[in-house]
Amino acid sequence: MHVSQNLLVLVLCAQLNVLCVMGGLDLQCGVIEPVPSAVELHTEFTATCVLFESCIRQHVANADDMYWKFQQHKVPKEQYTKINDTAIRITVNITDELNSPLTCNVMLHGQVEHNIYGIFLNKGFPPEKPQNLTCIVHQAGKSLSDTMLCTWNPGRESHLDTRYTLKAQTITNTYENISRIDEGELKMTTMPVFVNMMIWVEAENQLGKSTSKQSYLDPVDVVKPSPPEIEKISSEKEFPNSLVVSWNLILNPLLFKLKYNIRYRSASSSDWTEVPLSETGSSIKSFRLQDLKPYTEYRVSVRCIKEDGFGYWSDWSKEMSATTPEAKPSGKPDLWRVIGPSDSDKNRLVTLMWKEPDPSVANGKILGYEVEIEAGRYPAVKRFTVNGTSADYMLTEGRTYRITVAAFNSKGQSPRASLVIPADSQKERPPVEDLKAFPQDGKLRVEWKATPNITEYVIEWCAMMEEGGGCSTESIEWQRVSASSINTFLKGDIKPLKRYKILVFPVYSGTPGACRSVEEYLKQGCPTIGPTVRTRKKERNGALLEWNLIPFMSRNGFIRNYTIFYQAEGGVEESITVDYANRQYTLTSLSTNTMYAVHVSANTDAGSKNGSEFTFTTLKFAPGEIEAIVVPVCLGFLFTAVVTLLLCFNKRDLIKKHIWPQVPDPGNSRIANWSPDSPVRHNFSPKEQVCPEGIITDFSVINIENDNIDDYNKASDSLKKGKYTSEEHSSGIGGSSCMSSPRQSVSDSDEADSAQTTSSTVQYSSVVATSYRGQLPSAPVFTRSESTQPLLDCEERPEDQHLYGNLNGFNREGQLQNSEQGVRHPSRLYFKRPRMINEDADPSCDSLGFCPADEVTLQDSAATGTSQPDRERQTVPRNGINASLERNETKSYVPQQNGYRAQ
Amino acid sequence: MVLLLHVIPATSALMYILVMSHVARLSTAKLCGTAAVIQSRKLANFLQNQSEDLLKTYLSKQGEGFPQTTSLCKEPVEGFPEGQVTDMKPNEMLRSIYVTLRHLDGHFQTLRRQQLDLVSPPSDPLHKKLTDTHNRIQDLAGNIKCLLEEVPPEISITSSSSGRGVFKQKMVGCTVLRKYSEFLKQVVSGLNHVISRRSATRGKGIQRIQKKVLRLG
Repeated sequence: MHVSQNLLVLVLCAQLNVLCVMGGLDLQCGVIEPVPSAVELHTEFTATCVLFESCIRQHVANADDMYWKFQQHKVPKEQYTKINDTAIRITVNITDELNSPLTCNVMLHGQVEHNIYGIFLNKGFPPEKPQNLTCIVHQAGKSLSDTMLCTWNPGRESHLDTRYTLKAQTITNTYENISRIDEGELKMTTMPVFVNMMIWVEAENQLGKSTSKQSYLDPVDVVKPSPPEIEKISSEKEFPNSLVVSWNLILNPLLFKLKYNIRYRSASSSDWTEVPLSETGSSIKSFRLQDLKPYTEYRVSVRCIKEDGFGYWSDWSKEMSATTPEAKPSGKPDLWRVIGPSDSDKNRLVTLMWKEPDPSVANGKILGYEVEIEAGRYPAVKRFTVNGTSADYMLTEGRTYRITVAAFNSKGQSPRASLVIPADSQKERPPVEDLKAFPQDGKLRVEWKATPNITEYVIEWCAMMEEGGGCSTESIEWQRVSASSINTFLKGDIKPLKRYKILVFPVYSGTPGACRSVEEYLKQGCPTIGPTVRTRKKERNGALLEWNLIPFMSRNGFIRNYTIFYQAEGGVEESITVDYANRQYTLTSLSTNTMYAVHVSANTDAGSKNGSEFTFTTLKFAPGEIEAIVVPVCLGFLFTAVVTLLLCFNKRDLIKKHIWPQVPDPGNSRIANWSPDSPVRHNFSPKEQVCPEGIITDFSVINIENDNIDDYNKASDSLKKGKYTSEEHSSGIGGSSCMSSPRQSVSDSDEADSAQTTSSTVQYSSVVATSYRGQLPSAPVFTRSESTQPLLDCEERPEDQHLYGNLNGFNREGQLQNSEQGVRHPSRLYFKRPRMINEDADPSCDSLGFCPADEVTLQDSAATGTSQPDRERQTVPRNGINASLERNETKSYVPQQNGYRAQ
Repeated sequence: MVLLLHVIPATSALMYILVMSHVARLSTAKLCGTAAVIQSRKLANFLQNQSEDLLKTYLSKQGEGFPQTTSLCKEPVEGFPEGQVTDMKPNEMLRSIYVTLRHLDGHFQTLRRQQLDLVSPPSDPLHKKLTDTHNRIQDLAGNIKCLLEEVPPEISITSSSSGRGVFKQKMVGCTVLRKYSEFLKQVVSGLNHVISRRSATRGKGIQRIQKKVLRLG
């Protein structure tokens, strides 16, 4: 607790920059000596802690109880010495790592730590001697600034607060100013001039003081003048190679004289040329620049310094520009030509082209060109003045022409450039050999093999616009190369990604020989667009691919080859590289009926560009494969059908037997015998009750009107024994059909009857005469049933319902027709099973009124008012079931007359 | 023995005085330098050039009615040498120049104070010019002092025109500036003469100073 409180006090003391005397909180117990304001790093420091007598008496402590601490770290006893019973001494090497404060403590009663005293060690170095003191005085107006600026090198960092004082002294005055660590300024009332001034810097901190070497100077010798102001730059027409530069003198020349440094450059160049100092006298106000180029803009700048070289150069003045006067062109134009094909008149268009002389030799503004054309045999010279740099002339192909061109400006004419256009018939001189072109160092380099007896080479080139195309006159550029050269770099604005056609002409004494050409890119790139691929032909295991040619301007390089990338759906991408000449390729070994994605990349030396992706699916069958399968199958099917038909035809009786099995004749049932209307049945012998094969029972059609069902039931009580009504019996015929199996129907009558009917299940069949809209069916339909119900009852079937509906519908229509007649028509047809007719029986009508069915008379139908056509009404055709009946030579069916109640 | 003990401190004190004076003279010698005479000539030349401009400025700032010519500025002013200093021997001339410059120091002190009362604002160029000239007169006096083999006794500078009327003050000021300008012409001429003479015997004076120092040491 004590220690922490004491440390807090120490910290506060440190903040206040006051050394504290620590004696605990109650009584000062001792002191540390010395108490330095700062200690020098890397030196030894010795401190002694002395315990006061009063403390010794009070706490009964001595030097053995005393110890040192650096911050919280107790110093081992071995590192300090006991001087006597009341004092201990420590000697430490001051380092950066040493932590303040250094405290002297005493352990009271062997356990209570008591702080006696503490000191902070302010570590650092004494200031080093400032070095390299330099001062500068700036010009202010016509005189000098009253402030002197000085800089120096303070040396090693002291780590302590160090005060730097810049001092100066003349015979009559002294000046000083507190400065920053490495620079300062002395502000004076008047800047002394032509007096000696002593200047020095004093650096002082807690560890010492150092003074720089004293510097003696006259302030005028450390002046940095203001930059001169260029007044004007004048030219004289008579001197096209010189300019006169004039500037102002601002500084009072009585202070000191100045010498000047002049520099100049052409406006197109960034390199300055300086006039030697020996050529510029002191205190001059103008200077003539010589050996300049005519008609060239120059920029000039001037600076100055004290004449004797003391002090500092001023900054360069603002640039001022001027143009030298014109002179006669000193260089001839660069002349070239393009010879067109001969026309029908044996003339050819010759385009003369020339370059404006370089400004360095034009020496002025070129006003025009004088062209002279001289034919070989005719000495007369034709002269033309041309303003531009090209001219077209129709020249006879059979003549040799000598053409000269000279440029002229306001001062005169240039030397003439000449060119020979040889006659067409004249044999061309040989071209250069081994012509090559390739990019190098960002330029296009052209090389060829030296050709003997030539005067120079002309390199002509143009950027190509189409493959195999030539150069248009406007796009042609050219340059000349000396005869000794066998290579050159094209000097024009050669752009990357453009194909250049380069032609080299050897020139034999002004006559160009045959040329040789080569094509090259400065820099190739990837094509801008890729080839678009499509399938030309698809097969089961392959596809013929075709892609378009990339437009010339989009190639950006020489297309070396194409790479076809194809990938089956879910498969791995594969590729094939084909030569540039190919634009078709057949992919083989593809999977059948598989979707493939394919794209083609065009490859140049610099890279490739993928075209758009195209997908296709290989064929499932090879061409003709389907036909090869379908035709035999169809033929086989046809053959099978024919054979089946023939077989059916031959075995129709057998088939018929299988399709329509023998149905037991319900007429043999006991009910039939029971019926009071057929008493004759009792006469049947048991033998006759058995349904012989091929015998089909007769049936009756009963037409019952809904409204009269009850009446009908009552009327037929004798037949039904008053027990069965049409409503009480469900149909046992429903669902039967020609090919269906017998189906049992459950009646909803009382149990007794059910038991009876169930126990006496009888298979039977019924013929349902359906009609549509009152039309009788052309052939009756036979249905097979396994009804357990006595067939003499009315039967209800879905088919019947339909039939009823139809009939009802018919009746509704018929009522419109027959209402006038006041006739009610039956709404339902009920079939009544006819009794079975024995083959041996009389074909004539039996006692029940059944008639042979050779011709079924539809008198009843007619009587019910149905609008049957007459022919139908009269007879039922001998087809359908009737026909089969005939074939089986069985009985015909006659409607049961007795089954009908009077309507 | 006792005497010896008393003599030693006294000798030490004397030696200290001698050494310090030696250091001071060394410092002064370095501040004077070998080019003091040339610097003095350049400074005098510069001041003379400036004096004409100063006089014009002074006249223009003395208000309406004040003559713009120096022909009327003929007030009696003390401290300027009688006759031409160039007629004197070099040492006498330098001494006379030094004494005159010391008087001029006093005149300019008075002049600056009076003009501060008469011409406002304080930032007026006249005040800056007067101040610069005053300071440089002191510098020139210091340079000339370097050239003197024997420094004359200090001159007490008194304000000669204090208590006079304003116009009188202005006229005296004008007279001082006019005489100052004329005096500087003589100084330049005289220093040129000294330079030409000393160029032949360059270094003798320095050697003499060095010998003195050695003798003192």
